[in-house]
Amino acid sequence: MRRTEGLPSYPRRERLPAIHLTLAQLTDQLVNGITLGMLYILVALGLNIILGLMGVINFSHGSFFMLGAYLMYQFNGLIGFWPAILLAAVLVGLLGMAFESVLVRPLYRRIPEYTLLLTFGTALIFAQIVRRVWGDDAVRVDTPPYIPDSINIAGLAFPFYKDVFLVLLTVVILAGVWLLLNKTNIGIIIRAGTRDAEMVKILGINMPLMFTVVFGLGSLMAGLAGALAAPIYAIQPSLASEWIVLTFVIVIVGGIGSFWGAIVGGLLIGILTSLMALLWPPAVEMTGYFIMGIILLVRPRGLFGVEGLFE
Amino acid sequence: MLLELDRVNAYYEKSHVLQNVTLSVDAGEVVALLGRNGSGRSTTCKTIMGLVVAKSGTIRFKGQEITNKSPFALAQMGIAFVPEDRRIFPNLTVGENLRLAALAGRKGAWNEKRIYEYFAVLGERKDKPAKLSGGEQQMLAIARALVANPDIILLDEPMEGLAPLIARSVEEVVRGIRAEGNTILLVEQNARVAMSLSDRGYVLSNGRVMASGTIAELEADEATMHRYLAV
Repeated sequence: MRRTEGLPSYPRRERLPAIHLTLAQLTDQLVNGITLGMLYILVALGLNIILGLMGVINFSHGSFFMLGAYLMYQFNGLIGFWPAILLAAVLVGLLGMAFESVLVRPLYRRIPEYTLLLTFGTALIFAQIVRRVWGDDAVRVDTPPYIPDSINIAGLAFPFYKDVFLVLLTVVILAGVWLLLNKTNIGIIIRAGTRDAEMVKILGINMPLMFTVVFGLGSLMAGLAGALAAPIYAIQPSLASEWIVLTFVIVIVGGIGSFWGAIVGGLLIGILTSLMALLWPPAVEMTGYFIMGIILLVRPRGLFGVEGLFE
Repeated sequence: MLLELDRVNAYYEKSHVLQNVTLSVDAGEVVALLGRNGSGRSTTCKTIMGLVVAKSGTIRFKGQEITNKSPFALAQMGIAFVPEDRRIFPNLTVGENLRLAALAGRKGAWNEKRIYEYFAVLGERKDKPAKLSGGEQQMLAIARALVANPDIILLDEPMEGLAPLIARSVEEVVRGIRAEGNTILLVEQNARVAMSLSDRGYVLSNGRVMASGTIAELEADEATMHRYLAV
């Protein structure tokens, strides 16, 4: 099992035998995994709703995450930490709406490969734009000084922003999205449209407008995740490609078009990836793909996927 | 006239499925589209609803040209379409299916409360997922059209694929909503049932209108009846 010679690019890390793990280390990585999972969920949920409703395989979704982080970095110095997060998310949402109505809309009548190619191409363009504007090297954002570094819970110190605030905020956002999908008329339209968008149109709903709104909402969630992640991760052009692949993995693991699928998939992959960093570091980056492989063999529609969607 | 088609032509790929179709429906009428399978009856409904492109010809509704308008705009103008495969949303509850249809609809004689009184079987399942039998699906599909209080209902093969007893109950529903003065363009495979429900009819064959008239006139035209409807 220890054939790591084929993967030379991994930095050598001290490997701890599993029996010597302390409870603190395990808790640490578990909490890390939950934070990572929460951010994955925010990105994957938007991607999943867009894919479920419009059938658009949006390869630029990771770019919206990346742009959220860069815009947050840009505005942080100008208008402060919290307004910068909000503004970055809203701008990315508006960008998503413009993106849908100008570039994606003309392609709905064609086979899905057209939008896949389009969004793949625009993802490359976004990456180049970011390189031109902010450079190749990573930039970073610090949390404001009034935010405590860590908080003690049951004798363990947790980074406050990353592991407490962010997790709680994401839970609130997800509850909001759940309410939107299940308790509002827009939610009925989205859920019905995921099964049969044309029939929703026959019932008199302006679906072109709904598509733009939903694309904007999904993009806003990706942008918000990026902005919230800005103080945690190094902000660099490769963020987009790293995140888009993993969020697609999460959508496939959870099931296309499924709210709970995105949540369970995101947490599963976030936590297992984090724990793998502790157990066997060389395997960290393949954890998600390994889970996806197993899921595809056992449940080809994903954990919460339903029959009849895109089949 | 409420709805008029004037020399409408439509194609599926290269096959010419509607050929100069001209017909009209007046407010309060039930008009049957008669003909065999593949004669263009369902395509006529889909073309009116903007789901199949009319290559030439005009469609007018309430005096306004509506040719190739978007389905949602047509629905908002007062055209309801009940497709032959019903297209119920099984991932929504029965109540949500109705609420969705009422969202863009207009206020009028029908509201959710009255629907549940009229279709008791739907009222019982209002909060349950819409995983329904064929007959129940058809009731919900018709209810979805009614709750929007449209000016005309395009009713495509409402009894298709239903057991005889269930088909009879759907037939009675159609008779009931007709008695309330609703305007219906009815596509029905069984010519005798269709004619018993209608005021006038058009006989289609290979995408052309071959005959038209009141039900009495059509019944008297034995040659046409025999040739195109095998009655």
